Amino acid sequence: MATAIRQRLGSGFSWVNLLLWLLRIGVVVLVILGSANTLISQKYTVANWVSLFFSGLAQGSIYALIALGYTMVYGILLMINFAHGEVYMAGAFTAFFVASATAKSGLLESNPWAAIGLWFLVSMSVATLVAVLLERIAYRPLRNAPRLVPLITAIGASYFLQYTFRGLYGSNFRSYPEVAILRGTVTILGFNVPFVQLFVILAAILLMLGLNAFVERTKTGKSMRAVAEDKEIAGLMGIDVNRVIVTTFAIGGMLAGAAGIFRGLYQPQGISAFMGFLPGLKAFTAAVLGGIGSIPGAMVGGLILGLFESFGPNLILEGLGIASANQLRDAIAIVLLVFVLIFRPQGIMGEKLSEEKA
Amino acid sequence: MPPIFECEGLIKSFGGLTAVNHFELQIEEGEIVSLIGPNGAGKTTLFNLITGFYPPDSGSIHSDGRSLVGLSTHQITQLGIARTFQNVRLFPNMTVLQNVMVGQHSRSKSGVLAAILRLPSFKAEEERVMAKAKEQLEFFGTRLVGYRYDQPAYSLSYANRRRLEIARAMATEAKLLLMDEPSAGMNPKETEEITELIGQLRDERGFTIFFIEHDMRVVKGVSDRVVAMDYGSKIAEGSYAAVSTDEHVIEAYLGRVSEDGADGR
Amino acid sequence: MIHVRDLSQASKLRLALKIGLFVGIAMQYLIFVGIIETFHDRFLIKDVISIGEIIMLLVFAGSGYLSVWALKKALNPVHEEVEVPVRRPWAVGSGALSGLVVGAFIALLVIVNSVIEVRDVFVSISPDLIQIVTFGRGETLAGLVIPMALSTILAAIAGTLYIVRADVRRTVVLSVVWVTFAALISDLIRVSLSRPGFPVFLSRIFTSSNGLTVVGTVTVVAVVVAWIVFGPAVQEKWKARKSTMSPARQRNLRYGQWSLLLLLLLLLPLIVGVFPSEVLNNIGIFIIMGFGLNIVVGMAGLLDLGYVAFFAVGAYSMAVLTTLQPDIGGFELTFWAALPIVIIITGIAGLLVGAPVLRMRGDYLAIVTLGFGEIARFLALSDWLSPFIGGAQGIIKIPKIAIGATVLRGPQVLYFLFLAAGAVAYFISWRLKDSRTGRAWMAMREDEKVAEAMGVNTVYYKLLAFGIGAMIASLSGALFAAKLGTIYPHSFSVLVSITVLSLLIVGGIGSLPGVIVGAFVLVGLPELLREFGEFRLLMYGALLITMMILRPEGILPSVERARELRKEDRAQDEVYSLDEPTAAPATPSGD
Repeated sequence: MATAIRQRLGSGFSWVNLLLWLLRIGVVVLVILGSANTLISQKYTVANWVSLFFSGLAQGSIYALIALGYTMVYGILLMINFAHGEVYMAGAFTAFFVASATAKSGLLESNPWAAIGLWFLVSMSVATLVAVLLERIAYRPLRNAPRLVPLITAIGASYFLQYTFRGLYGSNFRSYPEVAILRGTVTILGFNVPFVQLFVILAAILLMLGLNAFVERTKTGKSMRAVAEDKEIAGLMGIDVNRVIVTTFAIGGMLAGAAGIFRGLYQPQGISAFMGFLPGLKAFTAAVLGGIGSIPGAMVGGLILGLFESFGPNLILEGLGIASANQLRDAIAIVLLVFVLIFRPQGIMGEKLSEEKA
Repeated sequence: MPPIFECEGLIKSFGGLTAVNHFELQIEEGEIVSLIGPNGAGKTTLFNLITGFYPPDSGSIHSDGRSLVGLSTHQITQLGIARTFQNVRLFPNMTVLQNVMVGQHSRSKSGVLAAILRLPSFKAEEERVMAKAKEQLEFFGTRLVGYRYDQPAYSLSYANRRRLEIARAMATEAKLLLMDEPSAGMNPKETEEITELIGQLRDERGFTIFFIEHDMRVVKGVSDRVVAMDYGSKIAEGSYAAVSTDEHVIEAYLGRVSEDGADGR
Repeated sequence: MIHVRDLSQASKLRLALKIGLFVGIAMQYLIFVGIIETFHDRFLIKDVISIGEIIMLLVFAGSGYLSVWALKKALNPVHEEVEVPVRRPWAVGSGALSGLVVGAFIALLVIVNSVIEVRDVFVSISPDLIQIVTFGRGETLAGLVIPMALSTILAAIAGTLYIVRADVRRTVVLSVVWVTFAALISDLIRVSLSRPGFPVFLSRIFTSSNGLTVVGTVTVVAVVVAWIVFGPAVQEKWKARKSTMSPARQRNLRYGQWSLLLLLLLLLPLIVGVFPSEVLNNIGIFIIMGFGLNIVVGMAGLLDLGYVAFFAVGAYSMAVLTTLQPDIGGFELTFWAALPIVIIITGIAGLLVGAPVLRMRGDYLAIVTLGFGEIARFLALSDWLSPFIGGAQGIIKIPKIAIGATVLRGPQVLYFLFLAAGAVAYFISWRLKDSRTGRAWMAMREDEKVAEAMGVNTVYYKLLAFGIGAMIASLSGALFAAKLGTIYPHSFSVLVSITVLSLLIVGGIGSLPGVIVGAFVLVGLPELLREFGEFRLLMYGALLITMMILRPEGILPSVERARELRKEDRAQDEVYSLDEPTAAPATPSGD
């Protein structure tokens, strides 16, 4: 019997395993206890929950767009592009100036969609440029280096970009101008949902569908998948691997740039050079949650993370009697990351990768 | 007395693929047993099961009557089973001597405090470990001694790396050595030398040897017993003459003889 | 017959233009990010030239130097016996051309700025800055011409410098380097020189309140020149004398050198004075952490980005145990009574962080530990835990350290505690490196699975690395808390982890002297130069990238790590060292 248990648990049954099991059980118990407590106390109405749901979904789609950049780069280079959060920041921060210019010049009022289109254009192109430069300057020389080397470089790049943009645009927090046409609410099944949230969710979904079509249908998309499968063989088959890698960084950058505009629309205030660090970490969480390397995984992971972050503090932490739970919103996202990496590094949708890969 | 190695009903599958299927084998002390089989037959997987790299799905593995299932790799090494790898895996940036000294890890025990305080017991043990390591390296003649001691392992030639890997495994003072294709990548002269070496390992050093081999000259030259494996199961066992003429073995090889190279895992 | 290779004139010009373009963009980066303006506040030589200006001039000169270097490389694409030299006209010409391009960029900036308000977006482009980059001429014709002319001339000179005699070149380069260095630490020199017992005029002659004086500059240059002229002879003589000594005397000499070093270390705070001792202590905090992280990252190969968490646990547990603040803790222990408890608590924290990440692969481990570090900070900041650890207000009233009845006050005294803690950390690292434990760590770092197969209990050794690393960090944290008397959560951001990692990498991962050098460069310099503050992390980031690309083994590398990080070189070694035709290069990592 004992042998059977050991066999099931795999080699090295030890107190470490025991600790992990206790941790697992502890987390589940705490989540259930907290949620049950909150729900029983009926502190929040259904309308509250619905509004949390949509704001979580909107936030989640922003994470998903950033996460796609992580996941695609990982799929191809098996490296964590830690500076990807800064790519998103670069787009959003730069586009702020265009946004306020369009507001000043009246374009935003007279022709709002054109103005917003312009924001997207600027944000996406700046983010793309930063992502491509990052690849060219910081990562390409290290393509064959041991795994931790590009990671350290990426961390360096992350701080370099943060402080570069702070130097360029200053250390003040900025706010995107308000967009009149995105104000107001829409009624869905009797609940009022802010229009801007719906806009963000739908636009993000549109972008993701576009990406999916690109990867599945186009020649470049196919070569991307081939390179992700096996770089060397793809190279032998006549695929220009460098070009595919640059394209991957570029697409990741574009999506992050778009995410930056969504952030500006959805939460206009607090644009700064440091806005990318936490969302970057969270988007990485989303990518891992969905199974790193998997494109649909990143999408789903982002949405789940957004919802978790939205519900978590009110649903779980408050139920446990933790004061000012919303302060810990960022912390629980990171706790989620830690738990996913400990217990399910292959993610919820990821195929079971071989031990070395996952 | 229980055999030095014994396994029964060993099964391991990865997804839908059963890599090792109801495998059973016994090895007595002092034997040299070779394991042959076409690529993908599950030979390396078997080694990985024995050394605890993966747990088996079911079945038993015993050494000297002690069950190895559920033990972790380092515990199995401690019990006296050491291995080499098909694609030589050294600690490339450590020196030749350090590599072998790591092999002595489970035969020494000084801890952090002893090391920090340089206690007499630490010094004595360190000297013993170093002497042991040199002794293993001297087994290969002059190739890995002297100025070589302090060279990084990566700077060695391929054949010397294989030798170093064997020396490192010897330094664990194992009773059973598992060698995964010791002659892979070697030229005919070196292959001959390896064949001889395997014999010496047993005769002079008293190791029991279980090795995977594709080169039939080596298998023929040194094995007391040959075990053939295909699709994860044992298909034949016995003397070289018997196994090499066994129709299952011939079929297994001829049927899939086309590819060459690494044994899939 | 010697085959003479040469490039066409057009391609030589194109090369110079290309270098000018790159350097010009780099120059614009420095301007736009604000480095030039910020460093303009401080003089290199009092009333003569500011650090901002010298940076510009160095970039101008650098473009010329680089373009000739590139030209030479283009002329000699492969290493051959006979080098094709760069002829003087070309050295001057391509230097000047690239310099002109760099200057033209600045002129362009001035023109553009006069047409549109660049400052609306790029905050650094202030009127002051325009004054600086035009060397005081502003938006005038002279303001356009002067930077271009200066840049062209300097670059041409620098280009020529590349092909002149080596000792001339060395004199110029070393003079610039040492003058700059002396100016950067001029505050330190000034404070050290202006103390009771020293004649007042000494500090006045060499340094001012803002940079070196002209006399100081000349002195530094004179010393450099003297060194270049007489240095080799002196060294030669010394070596000759040393080689004639008996072994016993040589040994005595070595002991003498070591005891001198020890004496110097002990007397250092008295020599340098109060403010520099404070700087030394701040460096000490990071040196101790550097040794600790070096065990985790350098020896055991576990990239821990959340190392600040242990520093924080050390500092917070010391604070809680000793504070006299009425609503927190209530233990009110002395520093010495609390220290063992702090070390044990932090060691346990190390195990708790280590345990869940044991099976994690390297890069995931890095991110998770980063996450742990952030969680630690969020928790420290939260209202939830504030009754216990003070929340955003932190913990105050941490008593000073006392030995017996003597309270240790002032940085010059505390220095000895940092020195002692640093020595302990150094000693532990040094002794462990060459031991069974150290070998097990190294083996694990090289190939975890094989280490396991050789009998190394990797679970145990990972936990051991985390535990010891954490305990060393707790020393640093405890001293930090006691030194400041107050701690706030914001002292424990992820930036601490990044700083420690950066100093390890700059010094050379796995190398103990490297830790010290790294800490002096990365922590010491910014402490001395408040202008650095803003660009500290910019610099760290840039350093991490460039070090990883150009010199992954660091300034003072440890042997093993140098090998490991230079994988490409290794691949070459493999090619050259194969004596068997059939051998396939084996990759040690992965499987």
